[in-house]
Amino acid sequence: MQARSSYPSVAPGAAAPARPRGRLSRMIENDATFKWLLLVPALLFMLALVVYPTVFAVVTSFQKYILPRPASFVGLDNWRWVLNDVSFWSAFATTLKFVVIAVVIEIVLGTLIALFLNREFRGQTFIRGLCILPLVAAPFATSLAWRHLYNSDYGVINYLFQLVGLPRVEFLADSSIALFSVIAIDVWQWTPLVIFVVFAALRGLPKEPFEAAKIDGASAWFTFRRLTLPMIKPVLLIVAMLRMVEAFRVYDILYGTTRGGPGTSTETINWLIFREGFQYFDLGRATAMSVLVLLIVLVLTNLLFQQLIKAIRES
Amino acid sequence: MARSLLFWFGIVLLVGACLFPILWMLNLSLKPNELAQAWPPVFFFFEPTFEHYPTAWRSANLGPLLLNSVIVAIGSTILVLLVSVPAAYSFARYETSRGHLLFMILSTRMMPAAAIVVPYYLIFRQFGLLNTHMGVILAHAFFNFSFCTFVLYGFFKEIDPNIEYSAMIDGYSRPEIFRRIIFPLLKPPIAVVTSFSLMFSWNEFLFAFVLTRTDASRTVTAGIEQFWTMTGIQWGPMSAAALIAIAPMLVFSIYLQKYIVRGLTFGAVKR
Amino acid sequence: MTGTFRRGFTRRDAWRTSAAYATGLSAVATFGLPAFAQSGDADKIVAERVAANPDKFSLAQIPEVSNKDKITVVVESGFWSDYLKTAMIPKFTEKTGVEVEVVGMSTNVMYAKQQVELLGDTGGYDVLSMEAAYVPEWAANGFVKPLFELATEYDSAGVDGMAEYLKPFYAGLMTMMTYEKQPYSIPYNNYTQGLHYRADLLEHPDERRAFAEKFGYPLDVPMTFAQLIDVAAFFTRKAGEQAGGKPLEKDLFGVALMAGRNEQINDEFSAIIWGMGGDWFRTIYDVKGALEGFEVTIPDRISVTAAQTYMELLKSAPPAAMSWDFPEAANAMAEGQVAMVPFMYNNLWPVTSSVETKFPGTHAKVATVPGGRPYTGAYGIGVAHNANNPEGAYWFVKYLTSYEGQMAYALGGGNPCRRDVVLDPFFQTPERRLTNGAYAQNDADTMAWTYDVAKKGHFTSTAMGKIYSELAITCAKIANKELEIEPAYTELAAKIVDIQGRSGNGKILEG
Repeated sequence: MQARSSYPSVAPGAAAPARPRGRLSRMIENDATFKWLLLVPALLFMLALVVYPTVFAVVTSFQKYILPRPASFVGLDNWRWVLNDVSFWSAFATTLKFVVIAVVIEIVLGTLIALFLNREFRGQTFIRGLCILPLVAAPFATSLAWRHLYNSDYGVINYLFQLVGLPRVEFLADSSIALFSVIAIDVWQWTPLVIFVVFAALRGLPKEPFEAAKIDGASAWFTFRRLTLPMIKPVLLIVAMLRMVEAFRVYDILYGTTRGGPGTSTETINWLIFREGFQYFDLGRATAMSVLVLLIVLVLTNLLFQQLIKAIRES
Repeated sequence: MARSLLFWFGIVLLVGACLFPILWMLNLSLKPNELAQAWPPVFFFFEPTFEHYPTAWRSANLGPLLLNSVIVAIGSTILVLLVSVPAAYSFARYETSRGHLLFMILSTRMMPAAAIVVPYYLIFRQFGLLNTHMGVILAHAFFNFSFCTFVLYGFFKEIDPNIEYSAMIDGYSRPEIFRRIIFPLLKPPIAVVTSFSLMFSWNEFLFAFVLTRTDASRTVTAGIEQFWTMTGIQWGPMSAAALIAIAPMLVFSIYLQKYIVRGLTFGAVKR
Repeated sequence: MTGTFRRGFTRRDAWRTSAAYATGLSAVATFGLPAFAQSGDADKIVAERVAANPDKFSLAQIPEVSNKDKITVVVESGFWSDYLKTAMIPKFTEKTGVEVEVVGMSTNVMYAKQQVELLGDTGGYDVLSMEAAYVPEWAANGFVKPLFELATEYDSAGVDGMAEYLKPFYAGLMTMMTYEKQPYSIPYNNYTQGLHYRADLLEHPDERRAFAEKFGYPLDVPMTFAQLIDVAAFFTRKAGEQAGGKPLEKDLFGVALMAGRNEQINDEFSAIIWGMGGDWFRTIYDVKGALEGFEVTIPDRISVTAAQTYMELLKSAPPAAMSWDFPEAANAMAEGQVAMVPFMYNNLWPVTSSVETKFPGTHAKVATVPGGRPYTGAYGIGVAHNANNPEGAYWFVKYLTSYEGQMAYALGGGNPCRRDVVLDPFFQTPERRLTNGAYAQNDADTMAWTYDVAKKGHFTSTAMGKIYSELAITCAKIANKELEIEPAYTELAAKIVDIQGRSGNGKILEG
């Protein structure tokens, strides 16, 4: 089913009606050039908006560049500083913790809910429509609502806790809990994406193997483990990768809630870089940090990407 | 019977969890100031006030901000489609550059936004794009580009290349094949990425905040920030403004949902 | 509605919903915009007071402004930006023909957002809002125009006229707005701290008796940190216990603190360190008064004791204080949750004093903070060096900080920086107490800072805008017990040396 560029590029036989014969149209008709022609806008776009900032970041990371003073090259100074900086590594660890916990919960919860919703019931479209709302509401706006809900003096969640006899919880003030409170917001916001993607995948699965399994009297768990899961695995990997990429950039929900605190317990890498770049305007260090983060994330996602390609090939 | 009861209990729990924060925002936006921080929290029985909406509208100048959001969201989406549809098609149909370029494009989204925004600021200044719609459009197009290309790539892989091949044999030129055969097939995937691109652009905060400086180009999401005042967050007006800001997306989600269910599987599941 | 979902969302539905949404919005836009409640009232009083003080600079004295280009003004969001838009700007535009666009922003982003525009040299903002801590930095970088230069150029009263105009402003605050003998900005929002407390608790005879029995000395408004710790611990009680002769409906805590991850935790630490006679880093001048450099004084015994004091106080603060900033801390007092807010900015008095309206029988008062060295500072406004219309901006700054502007600011609940407004008998009445009742105390405390401001690295370093947030992070780490006090300070001292060396004025002198 894979498309190959080895298809004959010029159709044999029957001459097409009034086909123009310019140089451009020859390039269009030829697969080898056409595939690159299609990429021209993207490449131009990348050059202007991706390559330039990346090159800028890499070059600046070797400079002492504190606005408004002019830049000067300082070799590996910034890199040495970043590698030795305690707050960088602690922010990195916090981010990693955030990403891993949030994405794992979202995938597991999303899959469970998708399985739960994968049946016919009254008002199904309407109910599914409601579940998508967290995804579309601006995270900055909703994080402020969460800030209110989490409040320990007048927040609804603590009120509900009190009703069932639980003690008051400092969701945003207790440094052992704050990160999980922020993760919960992320989970609330993004699980719907997982639900819908997995749900779509479940709807697209072939019926026969499942009917056969039912006839054989296989248990629900067995069916899930041996049939459903392998079939939706590629989708899960993709959505995990997309979520990972996004979670690394978490910023808005911190802005509205903990702002990195208490102490530095929820300070993520994006927050730290923003601080270094926009509070201190030390572009050298800020870009050294970002390039380092980019490199690390690239390695991580590349591993996942390899897995994904493998899984797709296997399926 | 018990099973069905349990199922509906689950549904109620699920819908409740999804909706509650948004409903709570609605609740806050209708509550008089003195009840905003009441303990125990007041859920239903209060005399609603509608004063927060006009207050919010006026003090954050929401009219122009909403218009900016519309322009920026639509503009960046059109730009993204122009760029990523052909690119994704090329990747899917010809495996151009064997996935390396595709991965590179995807990876651009991993760069911390805080790092990208500084170089952007500097180039945009040179080209006079700061505090313009175009500047924000470009920035939003940048971060939607990778997502859209990736999603479209998945869809396009599902299209059987033989359709195109046989059309070629029939003597159709490439532009004709596109117009008559490929485009009709592309409609649903384009609808999906359009929806996501509009949504991400509408909700984006950091770029929209840094690259704009006045109401001439600031988007509504960035505008909510100003309800954080010296004497605390003004819960009523803030919630009212936030609801006005997210309402178009809530309505829009109905549309989004239809397409997302239709198959946001990234082409990774065999049918 | 369900039907719509079942058959799918058609294009007609999309139009219908968008139309409904648009209609709703335009209805709000056209009909539902009542004027801000207080502005009408305030307007009348301001007009009366201005008429009663004809000798002060007022709108009528602005001469013909030749440059009519629109000016863009950064203002802290909240009541003040609302009031400007509805009351003051229309008058200014009518008088001068200069249109004014207000950009409201929260203080969270004020520094970063304006700094970006200044560094980018966009000329995007004509009038800047600046906190005391970043005046030296912006002045040294040439981002702000000196007021005297503007006065020479656009004002017939000239330099002398400007010097005269600045006289009613607090000298200490003016020192902060000055860099190398040139004033750059005119303060309008004074945030000197005070000890805000519940007099109904601290002055209650039963409490006094119990306190004297327990601690062996009389209960009074705490003047020292040792007293503060005792009083704070004393008033930390559980719901159901008695306080001020009444049973408590909810837990009561001794103090509210701003221990969250915001910059204000540094102000609390500073007030304690300064009150104990210490400092973070000190300014050193030579015999002729020229800046020689800075001496980093942490971690010394005083700063360590100060941090220990803070940790001790945290024990008597609500646990939620670990996420609080000043609005939440002030709100805790308003909600009857705490007996004192020991380091509260006096411009939040209208919030803390609102406990009296919420809980009849309570009584709020303000005193000097323990140690007598409250954190002090002000927000001021000045004209950007690359302003589009410096002439219009100059007159706008003068108008906003005039007697009239500061009067309006005071009526809205702000804490002005002009003594002639603060000491106006109009504000000393019982009717104005809940809004302006902190003025007399605030006046004394601000006056006490007249001379010492220049000795603090806080108000003289041109890297303070950057160092400030580093101080706050260290304080937050200490409060959160992430680091022991001394290592945290040692780390901070290295950072101050680093930042000051990389982007500050003067060198770091070895102590």
